[in-house]
Amino acid sequence: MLLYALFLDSNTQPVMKKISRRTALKSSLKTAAAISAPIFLPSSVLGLGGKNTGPNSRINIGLIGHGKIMHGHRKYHLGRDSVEVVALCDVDSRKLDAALAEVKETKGRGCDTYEYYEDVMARSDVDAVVVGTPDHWHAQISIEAMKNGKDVYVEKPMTLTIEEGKVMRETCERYGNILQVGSQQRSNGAFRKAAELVLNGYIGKVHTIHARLGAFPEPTQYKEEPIPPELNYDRWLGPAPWEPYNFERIKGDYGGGWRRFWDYGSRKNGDWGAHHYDIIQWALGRDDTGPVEFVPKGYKGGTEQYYVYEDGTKIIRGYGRQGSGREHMIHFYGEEGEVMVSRGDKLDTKVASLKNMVLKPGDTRLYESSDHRADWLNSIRTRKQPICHVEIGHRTATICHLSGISERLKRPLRWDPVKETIVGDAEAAKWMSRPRRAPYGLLG
Amino acid sequence: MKLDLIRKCAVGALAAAISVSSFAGEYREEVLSIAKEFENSDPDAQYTARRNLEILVSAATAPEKSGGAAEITGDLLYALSQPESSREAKKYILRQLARVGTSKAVAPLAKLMMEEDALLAENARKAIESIKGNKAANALKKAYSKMDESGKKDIIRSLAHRGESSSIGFLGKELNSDSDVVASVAAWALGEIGGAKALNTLKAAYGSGLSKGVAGVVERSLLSHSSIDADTIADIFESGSSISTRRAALRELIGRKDDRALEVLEAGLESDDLDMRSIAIESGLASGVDDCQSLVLDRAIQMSGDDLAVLLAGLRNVRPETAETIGLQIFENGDEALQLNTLELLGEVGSVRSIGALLRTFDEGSRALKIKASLALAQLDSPALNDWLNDMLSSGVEKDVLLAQEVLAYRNVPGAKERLLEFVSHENADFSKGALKTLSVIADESDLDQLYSISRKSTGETERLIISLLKKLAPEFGSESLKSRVEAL
Repeated sequence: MLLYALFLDSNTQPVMKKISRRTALKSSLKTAAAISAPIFLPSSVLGLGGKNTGPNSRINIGLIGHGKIMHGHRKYHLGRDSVEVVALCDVDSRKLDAALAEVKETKGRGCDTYEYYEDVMARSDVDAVVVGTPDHWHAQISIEAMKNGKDVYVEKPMTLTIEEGKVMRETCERYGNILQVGSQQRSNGAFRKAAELVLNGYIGKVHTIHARLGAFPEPTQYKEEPIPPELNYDRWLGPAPWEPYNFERIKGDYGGGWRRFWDYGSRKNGDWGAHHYDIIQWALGRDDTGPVEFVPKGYKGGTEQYYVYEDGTKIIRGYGRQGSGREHMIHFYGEEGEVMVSRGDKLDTKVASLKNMVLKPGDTRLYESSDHRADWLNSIRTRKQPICHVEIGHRTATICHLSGISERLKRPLRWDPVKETIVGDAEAAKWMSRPRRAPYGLLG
Repeated sequence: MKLDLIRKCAVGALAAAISVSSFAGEYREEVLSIAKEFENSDPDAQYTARRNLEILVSAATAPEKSGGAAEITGDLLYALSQPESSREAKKYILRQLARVGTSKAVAPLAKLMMEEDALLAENARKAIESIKGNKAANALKKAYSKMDESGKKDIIRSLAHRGESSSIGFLGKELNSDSDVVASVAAWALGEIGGAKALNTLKAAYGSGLSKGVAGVVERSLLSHSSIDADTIADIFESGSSISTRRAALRELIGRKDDRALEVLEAGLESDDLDMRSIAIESGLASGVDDCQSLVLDRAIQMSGDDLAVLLAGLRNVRPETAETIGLQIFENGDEALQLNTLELLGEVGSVRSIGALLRTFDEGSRALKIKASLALAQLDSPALNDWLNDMLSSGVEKDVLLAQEVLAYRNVPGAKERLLEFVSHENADFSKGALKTLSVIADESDLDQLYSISRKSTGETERLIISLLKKLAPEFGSESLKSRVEAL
């Protein structure tokens, strides 16, 4: 007999309305059982075996890249009983040793360490990996992981190039992996509320948005230094062009380090931009598409870089000189109000009471997550797409990259978000990909 | 130093290798000038030179510059051929040629590709890789036989990145290379190039005694072809070299919704491998095919907690009433992890039947469950819940009233704020406090005015609480008039 047929026979009438509220509330369990009585099956029959028989299988994970950003991931996963950290990987044995010491201290036992991520991929007992390397390694490691049947948490921005994003999306779809991008602002209540207010039209039609990204120092060409024996520098560079070693080049530093170089990221566009552009896409309901025009700072005397959506909504990097709202990271201007949001749960609105607005039942409610990593782990168990899945990560990264290309070429770009191509500029279109240094060809 | 020797040799060899017309292009002087800038070893000057070259090439190839790519290619090649150009200059010139180079660069680049200086040789290969046309393809193929294993891999990658269909025959032969490394890259390349001919080449090789490693790459490449036939996918599902390709095959077959889908779905559901079962459950429910969904739901009765978690997520693809019924069953019997996911589902697909479970959980559940329940109560598309809450507010039963007041902080119920404002001056102090607590997070400007009026008629604890609330909220969004009145309190 079909179980679901039994379920379908259940009482679908609004019987609750007929039951005294108080009675129901005093013992809702009883009420629920009563409603379900005609089809209620003991838990042993359902296969549940009683309470505490949920998705308890422990997830074995590998942590790849032990720079600054991995610190939080490591601590988080080591602190959860449902997760077993079974592999650590880094091209610098000093970082690997430090990470291993932390594992031993927390868990009372060590785990395997690797210099080459391929060795993590080869382990069939690794269910998932966290990729916390610099950006130029994100795609290759993530794709290899997915092809080896592993789920992935990859730091933001998801990719270094637009073409990498297309391959990641296709791979994820084909192999059915769970991939979460580390744009964790989506898992913060203030950002979600801000996005919901904007998305549901509570400030009217949005015409302008400011996003505060800050700036890195200009890249430079450091003098060559001896490569430390603990570091596999060739491997650190990976698919990026060869450049002489200098500690400042590879340093993990939120104020610069490798982040200031185009070879390893999209500078601030891929740094804070990956966070804020992501929230803007979410708030505008554009997670599966993108803007159509990108204009660099300095073009025709413009003081700020900006990009524009098809309906004219303009996203400006920075706040210019007017100062208003500078204290916030993202500032949405609508025809009937404003929404301003920042980290630290800071949400302000004009009209001020708007932030107290309770969404109506018919309003669009955005995916709710209050813990980005937990959301990923839950998705691994349920196979439900996580809050910042591959398509979202790819579309946001595309904005970061197009902003960067426009900045580097010093000219505006037209973008077709449906065909995902740069329009009318064949040379610029070549920047959607980057030559990859041998032997680190993508997928090769 | 060996590196220095290589560099010196390379400089001499480059000049001999590159033969360029002496015709000076529009950008020659600028390119040469920038090339000279690379001689300055100051780090910032090096970067500036690099950036200046990038900007010059960008300007030369802007859309409005007809023939700009050919022009700048000639001038870059000229600078490349100059003995006095430094290795750094050559490195970055080659990188620019990889962006904008035209076919006239192929011959000199092909010679550079064979030079001893590995860095420059590789940059030359990448530049050829990006140049359209047969000349570039032929140059790569011609170089292949002279390469060692590593170089062969690189050439194959270049051909794949170009989507070079003229190399399919040659790559097919390399599938049987003595080197598994070369054979694997060839298999990958055939997948990248795509098309019927590449697919047939891969199919012919599959099952012909390839090593496990190469077979695995062939499987991945086959699966990357949208035109792959169901029989081949079924072969991969049944005897694939890795669990990941078998899972991908299962997913693909179910997604195709043909006659074979039910058969493989059943096999997937009965698999010992949790991930295989997960894909079967997820794909079967997402297929939208009644028979497939039934097959999955029929097995719900035997599912473990792990499988049920996947089932729960997939229930969004079946009829809402079915999803709700199964969801309620799992909710009553599952552990907290399952319950959290069920609450999410019930918020999306639930009806009046879910109200009891949601309210109970909101009232009695753990903090995590309460949060999920509040979201579900906010979202539940059931007018009956609004009636329910209004009835609770009117019941006079303390537990009901307080619970309803709390829910109103999350659910927008028409007329609810008016009811809460009435409660503010209620003789039951708990009702008053409950109402004020909810109003503190949902009140707007006009509500504050009403609260002010109520405060003027209140005394004791109620008055104190209202004033406290007004002093917090009025500065944020009270009218100017209210602000001054509240300040005076």
